[in-house]
Amino acid sequence: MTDQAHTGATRTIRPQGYWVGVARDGQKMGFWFILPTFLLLLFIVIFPFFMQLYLSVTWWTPLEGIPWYSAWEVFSWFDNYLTLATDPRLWGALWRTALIMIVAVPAQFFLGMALAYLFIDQFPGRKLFYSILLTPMMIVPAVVGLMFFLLFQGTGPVNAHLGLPADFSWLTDVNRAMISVIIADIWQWTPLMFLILLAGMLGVPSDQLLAARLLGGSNWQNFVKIILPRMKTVIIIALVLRTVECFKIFDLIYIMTKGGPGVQTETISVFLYKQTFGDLEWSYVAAIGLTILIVLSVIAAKGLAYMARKQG
Amino acid sequence: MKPSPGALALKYLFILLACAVVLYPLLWMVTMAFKPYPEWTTVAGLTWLPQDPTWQNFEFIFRGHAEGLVVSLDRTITGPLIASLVTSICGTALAVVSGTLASYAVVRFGLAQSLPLSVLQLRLFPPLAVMIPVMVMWAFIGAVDTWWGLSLIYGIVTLPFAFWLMKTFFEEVPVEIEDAARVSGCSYWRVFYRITLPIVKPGLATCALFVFILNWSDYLLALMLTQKEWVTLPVYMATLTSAMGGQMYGMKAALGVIAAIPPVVFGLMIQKHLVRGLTFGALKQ
Amino acid sequence: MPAERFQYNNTMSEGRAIEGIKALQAAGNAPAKISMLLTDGAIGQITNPFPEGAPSAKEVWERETGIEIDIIGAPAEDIFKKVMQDVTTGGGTFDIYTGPWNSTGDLVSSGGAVNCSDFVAKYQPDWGAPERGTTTPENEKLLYTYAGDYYSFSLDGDYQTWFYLKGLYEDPRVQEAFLTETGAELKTPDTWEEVDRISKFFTGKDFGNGPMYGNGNLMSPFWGLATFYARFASMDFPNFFFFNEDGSPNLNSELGLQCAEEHVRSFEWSPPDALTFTWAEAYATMWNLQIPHTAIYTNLVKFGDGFNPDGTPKSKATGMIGSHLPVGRRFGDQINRRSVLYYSITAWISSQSKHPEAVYLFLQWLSSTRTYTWMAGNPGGYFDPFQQANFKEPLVAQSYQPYSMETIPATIARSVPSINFAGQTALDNALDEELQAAITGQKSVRDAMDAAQGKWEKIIKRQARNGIVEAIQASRATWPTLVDPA
Repeated sequence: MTDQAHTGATRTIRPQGYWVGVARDGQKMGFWFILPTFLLLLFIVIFPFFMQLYLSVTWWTPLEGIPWYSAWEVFSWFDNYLTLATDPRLWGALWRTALIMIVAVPAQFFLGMALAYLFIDQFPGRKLFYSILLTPMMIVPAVVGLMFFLLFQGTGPVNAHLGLPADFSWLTDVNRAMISVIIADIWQWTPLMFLILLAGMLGVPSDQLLAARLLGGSNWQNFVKIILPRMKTVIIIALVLRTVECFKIFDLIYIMTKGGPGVQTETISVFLYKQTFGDLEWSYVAAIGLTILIVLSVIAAKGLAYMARKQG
Repeated sequence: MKPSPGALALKYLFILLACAVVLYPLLWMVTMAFKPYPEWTTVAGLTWLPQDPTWQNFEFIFRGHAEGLVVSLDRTITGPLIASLVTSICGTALAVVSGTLASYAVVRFGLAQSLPLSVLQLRLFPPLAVMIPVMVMWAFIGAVDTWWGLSLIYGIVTLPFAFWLMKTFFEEVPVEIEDAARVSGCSYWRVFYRITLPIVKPGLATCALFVFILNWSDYLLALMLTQKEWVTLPVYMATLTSAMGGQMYGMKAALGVIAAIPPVVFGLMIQKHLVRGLTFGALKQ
Repeated sequence: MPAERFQYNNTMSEGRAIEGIKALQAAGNAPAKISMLLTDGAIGQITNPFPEGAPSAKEVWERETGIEIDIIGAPAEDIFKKVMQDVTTGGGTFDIYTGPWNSTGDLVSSGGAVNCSDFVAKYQPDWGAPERGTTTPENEKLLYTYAGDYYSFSLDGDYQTWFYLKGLYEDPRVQEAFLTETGAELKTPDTWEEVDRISKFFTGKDFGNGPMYGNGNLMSPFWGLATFYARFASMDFPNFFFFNEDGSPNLNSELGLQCAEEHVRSFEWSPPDALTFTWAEAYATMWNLQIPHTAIYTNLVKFGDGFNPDGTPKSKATGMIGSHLPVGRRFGDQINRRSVLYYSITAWISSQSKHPEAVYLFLQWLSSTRTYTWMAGNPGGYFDPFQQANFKEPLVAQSYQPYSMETIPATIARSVPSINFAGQTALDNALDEELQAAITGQKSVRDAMDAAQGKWEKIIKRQARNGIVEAIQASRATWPTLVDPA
């Protein structure tokens, strides 16, 4: 099967409304099928959007002593948006979030890829190792946070087993706090990457692999030339999935460091949490939330359009 | 082609190393669950195995008090455990059912072509960016601290996941099979229910597992949308503190062990579908 | 009731509360259940039977009134977030909130707490009773009122009190080593300078219990603020205020900077992981004889000195701990010893409660001097003694050790309030973040204090229309002026 034939096949099984117009009762069923999702979307989008928009142009905080719908009494035009543009703490949090994504996601990807590659063939003990390697994704992130909090104590097991002194602190050191958090994230989510990539690799038809091996290419060549290109979609899915989830990272960090020391591990979610419930700056949070919403929507729309163009 | 013994040794070495890294924190948690108070912190010295193994921690979280402990709990793990199970299962059902239906309609009937994007956007932004209106809304409809309120938000936030995963599965089902069934007189519903769904069953199982894990793992939403009756396990864990010893690590670890059971059991139940389910969606290209 | 001295009748605060409840019940105005959001480490004090053989406070109340108390725990550091969540969403899950005393202003401004002035007038609690209640009338005002009205119910006495390893200080080997090294005699310190000298001396020393760390004071986020404020208050004579009369902060003034520098330097002498400590981990360092002294919550002693019911010592430090007056600075022949009231669990009635009067009566019953004295001795939780009656009670003295019975009231008399007006959470958070940045070396002390000053100015500007400047001025009046001869 050549590449061409393959994409050709994909096109026939993605009919873009193949049955459209075939029958009205089909359409009707489709409508009922979509309805729940549509209603859930409307429910969660409309009110929050307008409330955010409204609050974001006021100075309202819960300390105001008036209900939120009376927030117009403290109308502030675009003050929150101006603050947002120059708030070093917000931009710092965004940068740290990006840093975690830049380090953790590729690390998870390469580790996951390497492991997946080792698991293509059958070998004694495969099933056992496979089960062990998948466990971290079954553990609740809050529990993972607690585990790593304990492990990384100065007097904790990591230092003891590595022969480091007790004052070699991890969670309270300016640089190592971030490293600890990233290690915990890699620990938890490499298995997911491994699982998805392994599935992708197993999806590469074995006759192609066999043919390549018969032609006598090295394992590495086969991997790069035969397997990788056929895994493109899977790789994109895996990377996008982890990047998106990584952007939202909260539980792990909040439990391990609370964003500390100082604001050294404060990500966007931790920052928003502290602003919402600590400083009670609700109108400011609304402005940030709305901005994030718009920026991400644009990125998502562009990204999807790009993918569609590439495939079509 | 058989790999050389050297390569094989290297392979096992790498895999064993990976397993060791995975097991290291887990073992620390499991042994911690059986350690009595003096062994929780490592100030006085470090031991892997409990020197004085005890069921005290488990006893404490299930009964609220334990032999030989001054502290006691007003609330045991039972409520949170039930809350976590109920809300995760209901949320998963909501997400998987609506996601499956909608993605089928989008793929087969070409309806609502903008839906994939809208659904994706829902998953993109951090929940905290919209938490304030959501809390206000939940309070308004009386959904704060109810099983259905938490299930509803779980269903909504994991819907995109279910939708997109199921979408890739449906795209793989050859339309010819469904066509053939149509020609032999099946209704659209019958085709979907009797032909298509069984084909994507492994995918559906995998999807349900992932969505369940996502819901089960949640800390943030439950932290903000529950108060007492429907507090879930991760939120409950944070409250295990005593005046005297501070954080009750042993109890927290015991709870962590218990919290790992449902996803692992679920995972084992559908293990045979797991890779196959994912492969299915991943086959294209 | 366990003992004669906790019995009350209708002429007493507790009795009036019970009578009030009976009247409400007769009128059909009482609930079947009261829900209370409580810091999780305090639950045992209400639910554990005490002393041996007697019932718990909860049981007594439920038996007397038939109204069930439903307690929901939350972690101490995060509890106020939970409170604000309930207030802002109108959840109405709780009748009673508890949280740091400091947050009273924030809660009142947000409209979350019930103004209890009318109830207080009607039922006459004995909070400020002479000989039994708070140490001074000003103290009653500070703990129970906000902006002239009654909102809060004090259930704690978090006046940071100095404890030290007396057994170690009196060890001739230690004394000799100290004399050789510093040229001074080792005795309990009167000033921060002496504190720092002692901290420095003990760091790295081993007197048979492993290497020690000199500084036992809390330095971690949230909890470490108390240490900083205590040091700050004594920078000038008789007080160094956090804010000037006009409401401008004093953080990056010359004395403010000096204080921050001393505070940050003291971290050198802290145990590893000190920045992840809560009070409990800090206690453990003293119980394991790893630190020589600390200014901290008084239940350090309740949980770590003395003996368990089975006769075993509560910790390695049993019998070795002593307590001394707060420290200050020498000005001529006087010393302004200062401590700080920080955190201190306080209850408020939720404005969403459907039965505020009944809830008020429960809280009056709980916080009156007889019930509270009985509860304060209970080792099941961390409510600390602060009423005069508490310090006269043998059970409290047994829990908190006789030596604390004098130092705690003396510390109360010399304590300044930490920030407690609307905007407090934001102010404390801003300072905390900058201090942590300085301690971990991300910023120089000057940069950190400049930044904190800037943030405080901004918060005050934003809160100005809510009367923050007036609140600052009012707060200055509650600071003690008591000074001691050197």
